[in-house]
Amino acid sequence: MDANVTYRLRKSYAFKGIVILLSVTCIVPLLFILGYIVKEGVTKINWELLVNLPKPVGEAGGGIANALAGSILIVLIAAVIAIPFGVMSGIYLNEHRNNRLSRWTAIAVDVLQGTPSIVVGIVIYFWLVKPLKTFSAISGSVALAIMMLPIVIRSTEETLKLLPSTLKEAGLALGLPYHKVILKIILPCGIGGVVSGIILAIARIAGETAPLLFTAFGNPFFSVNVLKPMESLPHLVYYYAMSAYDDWHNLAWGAALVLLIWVLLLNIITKITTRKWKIQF
Amino acid sequence: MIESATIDKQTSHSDLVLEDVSYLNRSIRIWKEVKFKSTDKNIRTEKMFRGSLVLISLSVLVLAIAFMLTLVVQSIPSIKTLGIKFLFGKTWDPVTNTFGAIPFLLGTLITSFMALFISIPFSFGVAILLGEYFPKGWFSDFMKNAIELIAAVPSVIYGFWGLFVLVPLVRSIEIKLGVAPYGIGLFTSSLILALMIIPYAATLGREMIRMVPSSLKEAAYSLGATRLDVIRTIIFPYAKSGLFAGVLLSLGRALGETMAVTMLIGNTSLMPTNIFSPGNTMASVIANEFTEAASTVYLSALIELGLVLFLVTVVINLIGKKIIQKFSVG
Amino acid sequence: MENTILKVIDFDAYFGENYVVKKVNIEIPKNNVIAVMGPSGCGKTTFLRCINRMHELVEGASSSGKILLNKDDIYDIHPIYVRQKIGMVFQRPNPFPNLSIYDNVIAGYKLNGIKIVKHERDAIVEGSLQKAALWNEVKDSLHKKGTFLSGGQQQRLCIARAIAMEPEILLLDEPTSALDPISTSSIEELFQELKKNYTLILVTHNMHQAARVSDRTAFFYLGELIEFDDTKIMFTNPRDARTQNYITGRFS
Repeated sequence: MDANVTYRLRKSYAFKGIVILLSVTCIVPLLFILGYIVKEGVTKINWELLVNLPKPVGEAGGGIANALAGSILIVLIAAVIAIPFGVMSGIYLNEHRNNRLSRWTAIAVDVLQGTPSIVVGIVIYFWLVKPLKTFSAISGSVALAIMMLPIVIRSTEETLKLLPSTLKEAGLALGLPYHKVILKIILPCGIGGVVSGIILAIARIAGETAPLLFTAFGNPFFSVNVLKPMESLPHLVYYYAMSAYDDWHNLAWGAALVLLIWVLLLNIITKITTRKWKIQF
Repeated sequence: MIESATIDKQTSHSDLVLEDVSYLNRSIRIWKEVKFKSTDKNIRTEKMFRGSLVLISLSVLVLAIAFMLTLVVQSIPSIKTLGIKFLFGKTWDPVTNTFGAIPFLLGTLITSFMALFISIPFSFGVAILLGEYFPKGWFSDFMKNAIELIAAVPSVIYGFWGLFVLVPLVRSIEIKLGVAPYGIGLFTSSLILALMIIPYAATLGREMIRMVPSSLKEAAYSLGATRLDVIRTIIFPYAKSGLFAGVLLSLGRALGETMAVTMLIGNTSLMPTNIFSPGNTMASVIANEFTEAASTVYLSALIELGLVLFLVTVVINLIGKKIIQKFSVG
Repeated sequence: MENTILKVIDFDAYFGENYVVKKVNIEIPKNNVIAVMGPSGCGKTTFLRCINRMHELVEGASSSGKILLNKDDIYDIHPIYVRQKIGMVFQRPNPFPNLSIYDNVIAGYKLNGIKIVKHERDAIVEGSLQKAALWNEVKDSLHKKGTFLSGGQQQRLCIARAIAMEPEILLLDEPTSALDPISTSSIEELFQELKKNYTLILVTHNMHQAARVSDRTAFFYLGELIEFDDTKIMFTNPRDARTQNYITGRFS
């Protein structure tokens, strides 16, 4: 009996060791990759990188200013589009749990969430790029907004679901109209969760390239015209990394580090917002 | 109506002098009139608000439907011209207008499943670590953040790193094995994909494992079970379907992954011969050839690939979600 | 009967197919504290919630019959008007957590977009908090959020919020059941002051509370109004055997 127990205990400890080993092993490539990006990119980051435009091959200098501005603009517009639609849908789904529209909309949200990013890109190509006969930043923003939508809707719905129902009742019993109860009581009480959902959605799409390949496309020049093609940070990394030129590779390393920092910052902000705004009742 | 007697009793600590009762009564009357006037406007706004909530939700539904419709409609030229041969054709040659999807179906399946097999032990390891051994504490927080970090890194960065570090590595392995030293190819893509999809099964798996009721575990311990016994006989069976859902989610992610794969797979539309061959997945061939598609059928064939990719990925995700729903409720 | 403020005529209420309030007829006199008591599930809360039209907010809920507030059928007016005239205090104190104490009291006006000059607003807030016997405890922290208040204080804040709207009737749904005994008695004292200006209809599962605070009591059983009379008579010499059984504790 004793030998059996010892054997089983040994197996149990060994298993724990294996589990820890497996887990720590996943982290190793991650750290290695991050370290490599930092190593390659840090020497390339300087003021010039951030304010210059990409130069043709062979010329020194060159920067990613167009991609920086482009990314910020495209993501901003995407957020502006996605937030009202996402929050309102989230409110609706929370208020009406049982009717047909909300059940089908919930499925639609799942479908949108599962759609591969490249497919989003090609659909928007047919909706906005072909009719307007040009690639455009706005079409890129629409594609990114569609990818943000499920995240914003879900997190709004989940946040509002946590609020006690007596909150809404108290508001209605005061003779307040429905929209005031929702917008001035329910939404403010859940604003922390809603905002962190929004920031999470932004963090997820900030690094996306595939939806932009056939929508915003890319642009070697500095542009803030949303109706014309616009460069973005992830796209620049892709384009220049795949090129054959060392100069452009260098640019891509710098851009990759900037992109990494940007995405990490957004993720950290998400975490801070989520923790800070835990709803207390 | 407020009686003057009540007001006199109120000793005022504020600046307000409440002696002028008639003024207060008049104010109250005005408040009441004003009160009801605002209410008329509010009743109208209320209707508009409710309507706009419905409208916006409807538009989300319409959006999803329109998505599917667009994919189907744009695939029609290809479906009409190529028919079922598309799905079984082994040759993809835009020059001769031959479009067979098998190379990409294979490419997708091989890379995704290889990635899945490589990543599952790690995903489950992390899931058990965080769900059972270290649910709290600094190590737990560290691992949780690290796993989220893996998911947060943009795929184009994985691809970029892969190009410059993984490819030479795989090339040297291929030389040792005596295979054609491309460096890029299905195998390389699978490796990076494996890393990228670890977080999905890991996070979901962790939640499913944490949901196992402690009363069940305690019952087993009290019978003399070791930790491993409890994991094997209690936790795993209970969380089985949830873990499977996590695997599906990882798979769905792998199928749809574009950028890292595109950068590492070699962009070849020939049938892959072994796992080291260069190739293409459905996602990567779209990424690579979409802007070059000159003819209607060519473009439509690519869209049809997108449609297949869409359907497969969405179905897998929906099944995964359904399983999670059932698990959480039951 | 002296001044009737609320007249209920042949009133029924349903949750889907469930018939929960059955043919209630009652006349509520003004400036009284009316207790509504009965065993759990007897329909008293549902009945209360029909008076300010909160019942219909539940999916599948319906009702029929008349409820007249001063001769107006409340089902002929938009519910928002009804709720501005008939206020409610809930079982669990529910001040709005995102608003300060001041803003909570004035919420019925502010959130409705009703514009009031500052000194009138201050008067309403002070007046309501005084009437709810909370002014002295919070007058120095009016602009803090109400989360630091005790349960009893929060409930008094909810009462202040409701009476700031100058309702004609104040409905109270087991307002002290979530509170400790000291808070409970301070709020019960409040009722006697409040009834000078308002009519209070109080649902309680505690018949002793009904006996303590009310002028008249209604006894509900299985959805029906069994008896409605002066509290003293109800508790010493009820007419119906069921009332007798309830107050002697044969069932609760």
